[in-house]
Amino acid sequence: MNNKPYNTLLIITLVLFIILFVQSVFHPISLKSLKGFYNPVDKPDLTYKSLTDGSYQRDFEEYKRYSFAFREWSIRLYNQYLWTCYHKTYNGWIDIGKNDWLYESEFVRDHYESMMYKYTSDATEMATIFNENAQKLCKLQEILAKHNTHIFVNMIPGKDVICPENLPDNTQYFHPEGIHAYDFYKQRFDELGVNYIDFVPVFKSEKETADYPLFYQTGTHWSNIAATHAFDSIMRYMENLGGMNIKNVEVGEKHKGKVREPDDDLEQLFNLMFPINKGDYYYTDTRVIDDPTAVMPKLITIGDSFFWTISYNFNLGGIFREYPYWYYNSTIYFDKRYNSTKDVNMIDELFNADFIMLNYCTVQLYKLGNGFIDNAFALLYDDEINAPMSDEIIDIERRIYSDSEWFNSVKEKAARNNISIEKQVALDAKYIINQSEN
Amino acid sequence: MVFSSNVFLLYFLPLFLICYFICPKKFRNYVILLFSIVFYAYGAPDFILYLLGSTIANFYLVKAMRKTEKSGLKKLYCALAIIISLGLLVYYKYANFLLDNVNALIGLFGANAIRMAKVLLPIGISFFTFQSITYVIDTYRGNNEPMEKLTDYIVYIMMFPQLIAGPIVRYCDIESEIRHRQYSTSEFLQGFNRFIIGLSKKILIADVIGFQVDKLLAGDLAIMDSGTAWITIAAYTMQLYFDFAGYSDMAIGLGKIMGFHFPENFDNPYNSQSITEFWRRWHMTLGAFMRNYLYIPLGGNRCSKRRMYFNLWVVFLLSGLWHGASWNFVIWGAYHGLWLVLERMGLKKFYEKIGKVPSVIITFILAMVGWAIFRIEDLNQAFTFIGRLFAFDFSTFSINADAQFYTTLIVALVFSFLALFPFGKKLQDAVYYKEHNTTGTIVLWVIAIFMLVFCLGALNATGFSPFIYFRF
Repeated sequence: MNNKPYNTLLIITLVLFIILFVQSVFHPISLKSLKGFYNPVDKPDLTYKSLTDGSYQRDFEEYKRYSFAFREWSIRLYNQYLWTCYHKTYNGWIDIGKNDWLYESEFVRDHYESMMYKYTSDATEMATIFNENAQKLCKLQEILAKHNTHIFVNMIPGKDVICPENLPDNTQYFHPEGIHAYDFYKQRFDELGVNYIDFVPVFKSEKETADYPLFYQTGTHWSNIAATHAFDSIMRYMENLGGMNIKNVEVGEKHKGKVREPDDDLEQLFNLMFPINKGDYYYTDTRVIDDPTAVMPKLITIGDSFFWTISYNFNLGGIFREYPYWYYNSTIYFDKRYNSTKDVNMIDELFNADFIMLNYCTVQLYKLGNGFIDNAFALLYDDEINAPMSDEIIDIERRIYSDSEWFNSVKEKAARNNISIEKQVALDAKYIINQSEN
Repeated sequence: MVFSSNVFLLYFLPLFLICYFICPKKFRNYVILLFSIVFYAYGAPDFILYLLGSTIANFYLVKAMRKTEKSGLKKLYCALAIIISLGLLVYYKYANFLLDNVNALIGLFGANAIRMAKVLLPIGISFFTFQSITYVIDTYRGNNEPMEKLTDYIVYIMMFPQLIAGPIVRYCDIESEIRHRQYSTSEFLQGFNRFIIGLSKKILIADVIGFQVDKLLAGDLAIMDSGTAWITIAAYTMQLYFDFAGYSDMAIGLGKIMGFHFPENFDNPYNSQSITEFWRRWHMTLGAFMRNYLYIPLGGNRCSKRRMYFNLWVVFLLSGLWHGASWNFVIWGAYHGLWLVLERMGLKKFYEKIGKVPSVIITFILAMVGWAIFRIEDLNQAFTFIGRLFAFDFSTFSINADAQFYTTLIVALVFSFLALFPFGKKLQDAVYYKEHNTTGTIVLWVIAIFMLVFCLGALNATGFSPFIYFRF
């Protein structure tokens, strides 16, 4: 028998195992990484206790799940098999709808029962919370307007609202339909006179007429091109609200292009080898028109990820003098000074801004402000006397923020008292005023 | 450490293979020894000394037994070696179970429960205990000479491929290979392919089905419709087979890579035409152990019919108990013992009359019902479930299709029954045992490499659920 080919295969097998081992340990070959965010698993510490109780082995295996050799290839291969053969994914954030349309699970849930159930199953309780939030926002709007800061809500339709025809049949959500934040807020904002811009009816009417997709089969956010046209309208809205001339943006003709983030953001999470959507993607280019008479306002955006799509398509630096993005009122982007909302000088930020946009899609509206409304309200409104904070108190609050040592001590006190920093700042400021009055 | 884990596949196995084949042949047993100790210590560091201690004690007791000419002393050494092995097994595996039952019993008379710290079970104890018993008894019977080198004996007991889940390798089966074994590249490749087949059975079939079985059995069994109940138990029947047979394939494959020939453990068990035949095809090395070291010493067939039935029951009760320290395993053993007795009493003739296919179907159903007792530890729940199987209530049955589950289940069923047909048997033999020409070998090797990558993906893709942006 000719053993040569067998010997060659044996050697190749051993070499493959060596490569597998070396790649697992040292990762010399860098591969196209898998898409999406996940909580990283840290390498566990090896201790006698962790080894003997088995926790080290368990944690190390879990750690290796995220860093084994050629993970990217093997996971893409298996995911492709799941998708091709079963139209299935292990990604728990995504539901596969009709005609291979992809939806984030939360959108499906909101459609069939409402996101209210993430808070409570009691509709009255939910309505009370929404109502309080709306009322606070209304008072905040009045106070801020006196400082020439205009706060408004930008309500963006979710994919489930505009493309319900491809939603998967409901097999998961069995609560009776609860309160939808969008319906509640829209009505209440009208009653209270809260500033808002609502793209739900606009998108619904444009769905049949627009010559570009408002949402793509493979993405969860509004399409780049839809967001571009929408933001043009938002800028005009801001002009009216603030009574100022903001630079115009020229929006070009639509053209086909290679898919860009976030038009296939859900598909990216599948981590497949081949694309799902074989259709065309459309884009448009924008150009800020120079206008010496226009002002460059400061815009603070607080909200969900729909703002990213705007930021991808506009030269925001050419329109706004500052445009910090307080992502879910937590991490701050597009701001050189701050990384987190816990560090900002809130008084200065609120009063120096020209516009504060609460930017939420219909699904995320149930957590409108992500605590911002409460925090700002605590600083600017005195619940005890049911009136805006006095200028003296606000001045003390500003001093607390400006003095980093003082501010840090207040932050620690807030953590100890388990209240928000803003509440603690307000309490301390009021205490100082009371002490000085006595 | 289990074979279907990243640590084994990406670290342990590559490192072992590299060391094993780089090392001169005369040192390879030391490589096996070292890696086997690491393998066991990684999974159960607390018990490694116990395993080594009992193994060393056995080695010297058997040596002393062989040396002595006095038959009484010989028996004493033999008994002592067996008592050490079985005693540790009884203590570690059954102490909690025995105590629970004693406490339940004395509780009936109002006595206070006896308290004892929970005894943890060393992994693989049931397997290596039986292996050491085969060594002691075979040497006592004069079937083989005892090992000369302690390290060789430890290699026999602790060799990592079969340490945790078998097959139970009789000492006489691999005695000569421990001392001196032939290496061939074609056997290496066959072993590699066999390992990958086992890995695929475990990850791509057993784990996929098992995930759904766990979900189904977590529901309220009392209201489960009969259709779902049958699908559940059929799925579990496949899960168990592909899990266990897959593990055996991996062990046999690794053995071949290393130059050993471990005995086969499964031979298409669901193609059996009776429960008696089932036990000749399912976990064959356990069956052989029970036959050689328990059934025959009890008198086997060479006694009165009554005694033979009794022997069968004892063997199966103990076999049930060997699988786990819980009453459901005892009942499961008794259940199988009952069918074996009934088959000896005449049921087998009935099977012969009705022909191959009906008897295979009946045996398969009987095995499935048995697995319900095996799987559902709470006996009330187990009998509730069996009640639902035979309630024939299909009124609420609906297939909430997970296409992957059903496809995998069908594939598993097809593979399980393939060997009933001549072409299936031929195909199976070709994949498992046949020596292929160069082209065939290369094709199988390429498929094996692909399957390895695929299995790694399956092992790690499950539960990998990234999201678009971080949320707060």
